[in-house]
Formats: sequence, C-alpha cells, structure tokens
Amino acid sequence: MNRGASPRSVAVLVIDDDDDIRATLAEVLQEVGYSVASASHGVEALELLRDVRPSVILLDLNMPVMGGAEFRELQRKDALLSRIPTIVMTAIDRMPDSLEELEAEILAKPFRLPDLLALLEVYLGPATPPA
Amino acid sequence: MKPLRVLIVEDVEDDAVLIVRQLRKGGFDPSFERVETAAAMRAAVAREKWDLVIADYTLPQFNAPAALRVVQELGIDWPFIIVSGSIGEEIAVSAMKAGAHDYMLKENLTRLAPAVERELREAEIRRERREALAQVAESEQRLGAILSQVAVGIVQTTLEGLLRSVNQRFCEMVGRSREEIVGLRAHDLTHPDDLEATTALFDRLGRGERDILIEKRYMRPDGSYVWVNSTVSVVCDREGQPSYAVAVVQDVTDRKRVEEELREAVRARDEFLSIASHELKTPITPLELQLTSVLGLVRERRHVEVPAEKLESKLEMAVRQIDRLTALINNMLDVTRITSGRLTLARRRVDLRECARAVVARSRETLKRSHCQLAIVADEPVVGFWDPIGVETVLSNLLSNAVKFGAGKPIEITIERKGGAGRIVVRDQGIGIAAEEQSRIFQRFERAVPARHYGGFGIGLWAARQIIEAHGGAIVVSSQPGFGSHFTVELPMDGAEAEVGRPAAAMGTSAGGMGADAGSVPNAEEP
Repeated sequence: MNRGASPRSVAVLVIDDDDDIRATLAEVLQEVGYSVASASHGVEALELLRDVRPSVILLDLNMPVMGGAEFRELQRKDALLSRIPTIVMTAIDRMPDSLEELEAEILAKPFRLPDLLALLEVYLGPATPPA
Repeated sequence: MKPLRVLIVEDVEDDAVLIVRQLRKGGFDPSFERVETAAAMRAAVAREKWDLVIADYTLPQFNAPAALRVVQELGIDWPFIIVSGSIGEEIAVSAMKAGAHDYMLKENLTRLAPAVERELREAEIRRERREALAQVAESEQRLGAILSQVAVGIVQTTLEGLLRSVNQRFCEMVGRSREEIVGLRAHDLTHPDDLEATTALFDRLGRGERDILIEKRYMRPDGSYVWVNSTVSVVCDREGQPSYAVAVVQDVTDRKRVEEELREAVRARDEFLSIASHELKTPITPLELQLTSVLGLVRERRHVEVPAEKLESKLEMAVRQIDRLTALINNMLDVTRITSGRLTLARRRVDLRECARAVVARSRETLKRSHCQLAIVADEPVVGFWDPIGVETVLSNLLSNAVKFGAGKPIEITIERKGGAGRIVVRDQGIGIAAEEQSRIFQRFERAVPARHYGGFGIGLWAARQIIEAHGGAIVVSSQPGFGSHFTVELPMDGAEAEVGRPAAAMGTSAGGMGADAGSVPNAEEP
C-alpha cells in the first residue's frame, strides 16, 4: 500500500455504514478525549488508511461495497495494517464460526458506552478528556 | 333303505328290473325311469335331478357313450355306470376314459350296489370340492376387485424384494404397467437417495422383523417421483417361516409438498426475524450511546457547565433512532398485513405527480446524505383512482432502493400517462441487477445483493408488487449491472372508479412505511 510520507495519527478509526452510528461514535469518543476518523465501508477505510494511522479500528461487518470480513482479510495481509488492533462490532445474533476467523475482538451491537470505553482503554490507555 | 333316484338307459324292461332288484338287495330304495332314446333321456334329465345313471352299452337307437355325452354336455356330474353284455375290454376302457365311472357285466351284478355306494360318495366329494373351488374363486375375485379399487398401492414381494404382484393403484403411482413391474426388484423403482433405506428394509425383514413403516420415493419413467408411506409386513407359511412380504403403499406426495412449503415458510420467517433483529439493533446502538452520554453529562453538570445545545443535539439524535425503530416496526407490521391477506385498498382520486413530490419531500434528508441528484419528470397531472398510501409506499420503496443502490449518481422519477394507465418509472445509474437476479428481487425477503450489506428487510419490492397487483397493475425491472436499473410501474386507471367510496381500511399505517429501509438508509459516504 502506497502511503503518504507522514500519516496522521488518530486514536480510533470507525468503519460503519450507518450514518448515525458513525456520527455518534465519533461524538462520544471525542468527548472522552479520543481522536476519531471514520469511513462508511471497507474501500473507503483502506483509502483513508493511506493518510491516517489509527491505534484501534472499530469495524462493522455488514456494509456495502466492502464489508468488514473482506476488509479484515485485506488488513491482515498488509504488514503495517495488520498490527492495528481491531474490534468487530456486529448485530448478528448468533456467533457464527466465521467470526472467529476474523481474529478480532468482538463487540456485540448494541453495546453500552462504558463497555466500549473499557475495551478501548485496554489498547489506548486512559483517555485524556479535552480541556 | 336309502332312497335312490336312478335313470336307467336300457331297452330291455327285464334288465332294468334286474338292476333295480340288485340295488334293493344292496340296501337302496330305488325309484327309476327307463329311457331308450336320446330324446327321452334329455327329457328325463331336464325334468328331474337324478342320483345316478346306469346305462346299457348298446341299444337299438342309443348307446352308453352318447348317453354319457348328454349328461356331460349339460355339465352334470352324476355317477355314470355302464351295465352291459360282454363288450370287450377295449371298449370298456375307452368308455371309462370318456368319463364313465364304472363298468360291469349284466351277468354279474353283485358288484353293483357297492359300486353305486362308492360312486355316490365320490360324487359327493367331487361336488364339495367344486363348491370349495367356486368359493375360493369367488373370494379371490372379490379380493381382486377390492385390491384394484382401494386407494392404496398393494405390493407382494419376495423377502429379497422381487416384485411378485401389484394392484392397479400401485401401477398408477409408479406410472408403469403390471407387466413392466412384476419381476423387477423394489430397488429398480426406488429413488437413488432411498436405495439404502430400501436395502435396510429387506435386511430387517430377513432378520425376522414383521411390520416396518418406511417413507420413500418411487421413480416414474418420466423422471418424476412419488413420495410414499409404505407399511411392509411379512407373511409366514404354515410352518411359521417367513414366506413373502406385503407392502401397503400410500401416496403422500401432496403431504410432502405441503411439509416442504411449511419448512420453506418457516425458513423465510426465521430469515426475516434474523434480519429484523439485526435491523432493530442498529438504531439501538446510537440510541444507547447517546443516552448514556447524556446521562454522563447531566451527572457532570453538578461540577461543570454543559451547554444546552450539546444536550439538545444528543437527545435529537436519540429521538431520531426512535423514529427509525418505529418505522422498522411498521414495516414488519405491513409484511404481516400483506402476508395474512389483509391488503385492502382505500381508493380515491390520486395524482401520481403529487404523490411523487410528497415522497421526495419526505426523503430529502436521505437524498442529501446519499449525494444522489433527483429529478421528477412529470409534464401533467396523472390522476386515477388508487390507494394513496399504497401508491406512496410503492414510490417510497422504489426511491429508497434507487438511493441505496444508486452509487450516489442521479436518480430520475418519470410520471406519465400511458394508454389507460398511470406510469411511474424510477431510474438510477447505480450498481444494477444481474439478469439472473431480476426475477428474484420481487420475492419476499430476497435481494439481489449477497449477505446483508444493504440493510433493510428485503421486502420493499415484494411489498410494492403486492400493492401494484392489488390495483390490477404490473411492475417490471430492466437493468444492466454497472449501469443502473429502471423500474416501471403501470397502474390501470379504468374500472377502478366503481370501487371509489368503498369503505375500505387504508392499507398502510405509516406514510411510505413499507420501504425496505425506511429508517436505515446506508449512504455512500460522508466527506
């Protein structure tokens, strides 16, 4: 993947096709002090990842153009991107075996804000609320 | 003294008397008639039922073989004894072969009474056997009639599965004649997938199991098959050894088809519930996050000032999720309503152009987010008598699909009058639909795209078609993958006027409420 000289660092990259979920996650995460970038499907996220270096990816599965599973597959093939911890958010009621193949943390939708923050803290350390 | 009715074929009166005397001596009480011509004999036979015929071999106008033929021709089996002067052994033997029961010389009649006794006994035995055979034949015929009439197939096989006899119904079931079937093995008629079960069945019979019920398929020569329920029993011989098997075969193809339809309906329902649960969870995520966040902020307010605008925007976002949930739930109810046949149209005067404008106005927000430019091409009002909520649902569903699959490119809605119909064309330039998917997309819970990448219940086009067809109209799609789709709806204007004013419940609950994705339109992207 051909990246720019100095990628911008963000704490979290949200990849979800639902406008409201994307907007809400950006809002609440920024409120607690995490910087956030967002994309509405896998292709857009891969484009964004040329310029942006997140510490954690929050990834939805069911998306148009490129879904989460396909994104994850490409991500894991890329030496740099594969190192970014990824949390898969899904509303699928049962846990199919294919979720295990994603080799990612699974966060079932809908989830509680404290649960999300606790999970992010594992990877990011405590957030620094904006002044 | 046993009474005995004897017909004596004899031209010499004294000889007849001699015979009678001999019988009387032997313990009989004979009554007799003497005949000496064929005509007289026929008359006597016709008039009375005799126990016995005693005939001289040679008479002036008649003879014993001819007399024998008279009774034989009438199918009568009375003992027939020849009493004659010397006639030579050869003639005697040939008379016996022709059916006479005994032969003796007039000179020596001591054997007569015992011979009569014996022949009467044997005639009785023959009569009983004849009656028994007649009974068997009759019961076989009755059984055969039953077997061929019953509504089940009946098959007799060897214990190895060789088909021995079958009834008419079985022949009809498997579509072959009796001649074709008998001699085949049950396996030869069996569906390939049921061969193993059939082999297992005969193994079990071989091991002495008596009554076995199996469900299997028989193949017909045309390649179709019939599902049957077969009850197989073993019939044993007199020693108690298994002798052959009888199967009672019932055609259960219809039941199987219904079962299959039910399974399919359950599968479709499960799929729907699964999609519904997924779709319902989606708005709950931002609702949950926003409310938790508001709660946190409100608690914080004890320590820090929180701007009211911030709380307001969060609560607005939360309320929007509730709207989405409400719309989704209404969609589910619409599916139920259409499926349960409660789709009634409340027809009134409707202008398609106004409907289109109203639907587009309601979708303004969605359109903005999708970056699709929208144009309504409508030169004149197109007025007919339709269900306005139904029409708006159709428009809304077609528009939301165009947005969803439109790849952010321009969308055009054309409203025009075409012959006696109002016509709606919704055209997008998006991903399009492959030819093989085009017939499927109007089915319930179907969509052309794999998985659930596009959200929604997958019922939008199905619901649209139900509504359009209830109006007597039609919907067709024309599409080329990569170049977009256009959906053409035609709603007949005529014939509907009579129905106007009919008190019918409106079919929709929410305006545009049947959209496949009324609440959750995945957009292209945000900048």
